[in-house]
Amino acid sequence: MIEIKNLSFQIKSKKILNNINLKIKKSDFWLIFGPNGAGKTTLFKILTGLIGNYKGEIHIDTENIKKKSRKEMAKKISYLPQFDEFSLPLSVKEILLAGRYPYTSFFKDYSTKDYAILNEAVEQFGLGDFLNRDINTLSGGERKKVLLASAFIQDVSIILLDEPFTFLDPQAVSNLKKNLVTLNKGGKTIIIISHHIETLFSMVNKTAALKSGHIIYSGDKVFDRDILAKTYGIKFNHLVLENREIIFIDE
Amino acid sequence: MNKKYLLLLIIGLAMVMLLPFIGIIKINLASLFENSNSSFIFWQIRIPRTLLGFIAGSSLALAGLIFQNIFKNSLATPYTLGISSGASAGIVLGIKLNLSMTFLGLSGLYILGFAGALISIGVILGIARIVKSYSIYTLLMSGVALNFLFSSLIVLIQYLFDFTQTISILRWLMGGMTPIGYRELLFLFPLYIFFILGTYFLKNELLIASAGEEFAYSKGLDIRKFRIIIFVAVSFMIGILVSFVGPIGFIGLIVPHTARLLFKRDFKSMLGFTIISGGLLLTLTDFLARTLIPPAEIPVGIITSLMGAPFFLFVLITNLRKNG
Repeated sequence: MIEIKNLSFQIKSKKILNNINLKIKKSDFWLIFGPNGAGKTTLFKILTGLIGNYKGEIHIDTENIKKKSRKEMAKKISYLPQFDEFSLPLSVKEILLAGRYPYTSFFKDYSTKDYAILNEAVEQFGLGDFLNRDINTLSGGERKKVLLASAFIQDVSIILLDEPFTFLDPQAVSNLKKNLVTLNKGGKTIIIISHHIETLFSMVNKTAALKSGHIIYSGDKVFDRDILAKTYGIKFNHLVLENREIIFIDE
Repeated sequence: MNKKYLLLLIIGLAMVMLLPFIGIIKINLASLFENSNSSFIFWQIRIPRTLLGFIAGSSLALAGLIFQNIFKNSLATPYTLGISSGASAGIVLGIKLNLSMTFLGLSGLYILGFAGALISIGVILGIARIVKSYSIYTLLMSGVALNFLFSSLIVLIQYLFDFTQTISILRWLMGGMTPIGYRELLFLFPLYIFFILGTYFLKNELLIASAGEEFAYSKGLDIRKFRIIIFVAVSFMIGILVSFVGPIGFIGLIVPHTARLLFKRDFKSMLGFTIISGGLLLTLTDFLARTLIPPAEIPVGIITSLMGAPFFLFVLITNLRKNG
């Protein structure tokens, strides 16, 4: 459903992404990994439409994303950046409701249906106690949960997450993982970019390795020492423990 | 409607209706509808003045709220960012050049005020884009620089005026309700209504904009385009308001900030509160301005600055303590 063809992007003479080709199918769960500066966040910003002056083509559901309006895009794809930029007081309810914004228009405010969808999601994500809280007063894990719920309310088929587990405590990591797996089982395509492959490898079914703007590998998840070594410049190893594959740095 | 609101609205209407009766010259109720001095003062001076105060205060407060949301910063207002002083410089220049031309039915003064406001906002956006930051530091420092620049321009133009003109310009720059008639009010009122309705219909966008660029994009709001539309519209409104009441400061800071403290969980209520209380605050301040030390009148801009500057420092300190 997402098809990236010959995607290149550069800032002045610096190449950030170099001839990227990638096919992502419905209900896939992808991990795109690679060191800092590999071009992961740029790829997400291009997919969301935040960056437009790239070369190549990107199709979502066979339509070129350049031909879609912002609202049409927001019905397909939602992006959770690594850092949120909240500063003014905003209630959790307002953040969640913003997920229904693509379905409104200048004269059509949020409808009763939008509120019904909101209430459903509040129940599913267990956010009842948070609704009237100011988003700035929540912990990192709680904020991620609210933003994920907002993307769910947005009723998109694709959710992009940029380093979602940074700064989260183990309990929050575990909760967020559960939420993501549930969403994926519900049919959502989820793409995570991260350099924490140790945490994420077990939960995804597809991986891509990105280094200096090049795709080194993309496809079904397999543990491959060479790819990992080539991507990060260090040795990785894995072991299987009670049917779970664990990846670790082997140096 | 919320009970708190109804109360505020009633107090507001009562105030707006009562204030014109009170002043240095007593209004003789019996002769209100006769051809007398006191009926002239009531109908031709105090009523239009009160209405102008309400419209100006309400619009300035709303402009402040809009700017704070777009810049994600509670200290961003037309006054602190130098937008008002840009408009002032344009208008002073217009007066000096004795512009009486009109363009599409608008006086040349409004156009120059609008142009001055647009220049300020263009400079601020340019700086923010170059340094890739909309931080308090970037915005306020740019505002300070613009305020310096336009103040010196105004002083320079004033220096070239003759003495009597200088006094009247100086008086206007202190901010105050210029005597206006119903013709001007009829021009202002539709703009005011349009401004409020526009803001109301764009309330969801304004809320989403305050959550940051990436959030807005992800939710389907083309924030870059939205920002430009808003800036042009608000600058237009500010340009016209400043030409009527001068660069009155801090209404756009005090009112929206209070609204945020009171209604942090509901943007719609914040909007309503800002519109009503902004009007009330300026009407009341103007009332104080003309009655505090009779028979003299204190320029209303001086009173708002006396209230607003400490308030500004208070908000700045809270902000800096929170964000470092």
